[in-house]
Amino acid sequence: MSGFLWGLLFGSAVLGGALWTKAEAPAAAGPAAPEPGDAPVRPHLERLTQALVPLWAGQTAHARTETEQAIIALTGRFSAIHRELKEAAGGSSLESARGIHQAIAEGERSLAAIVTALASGQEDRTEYQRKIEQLAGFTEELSEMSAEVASIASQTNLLALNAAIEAAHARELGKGFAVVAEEVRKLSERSGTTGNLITQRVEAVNRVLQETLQATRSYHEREAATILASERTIHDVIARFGAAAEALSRSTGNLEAVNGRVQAEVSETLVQLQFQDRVGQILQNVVGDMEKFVSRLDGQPSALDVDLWLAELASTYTTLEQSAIHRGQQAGIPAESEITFF
Amino acid sequence: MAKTIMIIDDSVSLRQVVGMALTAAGYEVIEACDGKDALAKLTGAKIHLMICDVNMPNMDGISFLKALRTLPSYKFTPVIMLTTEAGEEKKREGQAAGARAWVVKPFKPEQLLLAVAKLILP
Repeated sequence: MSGFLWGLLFGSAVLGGALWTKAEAPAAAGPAAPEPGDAPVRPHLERLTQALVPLWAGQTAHARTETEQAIIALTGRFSAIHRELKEAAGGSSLESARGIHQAIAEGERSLAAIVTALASGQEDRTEYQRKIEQLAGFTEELSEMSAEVASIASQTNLLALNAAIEAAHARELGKGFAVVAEEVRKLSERSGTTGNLITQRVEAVNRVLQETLQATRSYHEREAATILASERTIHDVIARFGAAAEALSRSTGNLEAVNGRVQAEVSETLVQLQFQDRVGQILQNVVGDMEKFVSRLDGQPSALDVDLWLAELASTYTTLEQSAIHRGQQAGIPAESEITFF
Repeated sequence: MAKTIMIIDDSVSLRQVVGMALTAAGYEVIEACDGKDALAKLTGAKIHLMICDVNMPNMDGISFLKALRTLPSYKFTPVIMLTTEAGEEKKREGQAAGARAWVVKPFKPEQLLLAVAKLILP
């Protein structure tokens, strides 16, 4: 920009003549220096310069302000989009998908522990069932024993009857024996009655035990079926959750990948958006120099030292591009930043 | 608790760009438009790092840095100079004034964040 300005000014100077005391043009200034002796044109040139340069400066400053305002608005909106994207991506990050996988795995472990506990309870009940079966076996023995008691009572009764007959044969001498035989008969009757009662009770107990055993077997079968069904249900539910989590994980992964690409684009855009700051500084230097130029024209333009002016201008540069242009070199695109640590 | 970083730059858009990169990385950001504004905003509250431009109106970055080092609360606050100035002389000036790093614009946000992570106070 400064080279362009100097070119214009010196182009004007060629037309107007003796504005400059130093005839040599700087490297970046463009065409040849003005020849002295064109006095009649000089007032016009000064007037023209004084009118034009503030206009150029004003237009340039306005362009700079307008660019800056547009970039501020653009950056603000870009910032809002970036923030919203980040929040949207943050809500369904891979971390939360991993959390779901972990929760499912933990749930599976907990439910498996419950099934194991249920199965363990079932084993305990199997042991109870076995003991009840053993008890039923005892009642059969008791039943046999009570039948034996009844049989002994019957035989004793028969013996008592025979003894009574033999006592009757012995007449007077057998009277005492007949009394004993009668008592034995009574005892055998009572033993037989008691034996029958025991048999009845044992049969009753056995019936209850058989019913209990049947109920226990039935419960055991239902419980086994329930545990098996629970295992299948848990497996199915876990599998469905796992599939849903896997799908969520894939979609979250895709979102993360997109977010990563957007972040890279954002990063690159943030670099590009900084052009305004650099351009602003360059334009500010140009405008400052234009204003300085006009103010110096009000004094003694002929006393302007071009080399000194150029040196002063060069001292205001902040970017490498400005220095390159000043030396008449091609200004490249600024390289990415390098960081110097002290 | 988020760490606080002060950005001092006369360019609003540059403050926005730096602020966007820093807030996205979880830092809290305070902005100042030049050295004078920054000094007025230093109330004694802890600032973990400062990112400062060099060429600014009212008070430039180097002058601000020199003034900052006279304040006991901020004597050792790390300052990264973020500027278009690429000249070695200016860099040396910044180093002498107490800057910890010199970043030439345009910067990549990741690079700046790396420098911030390296220098920021615990």
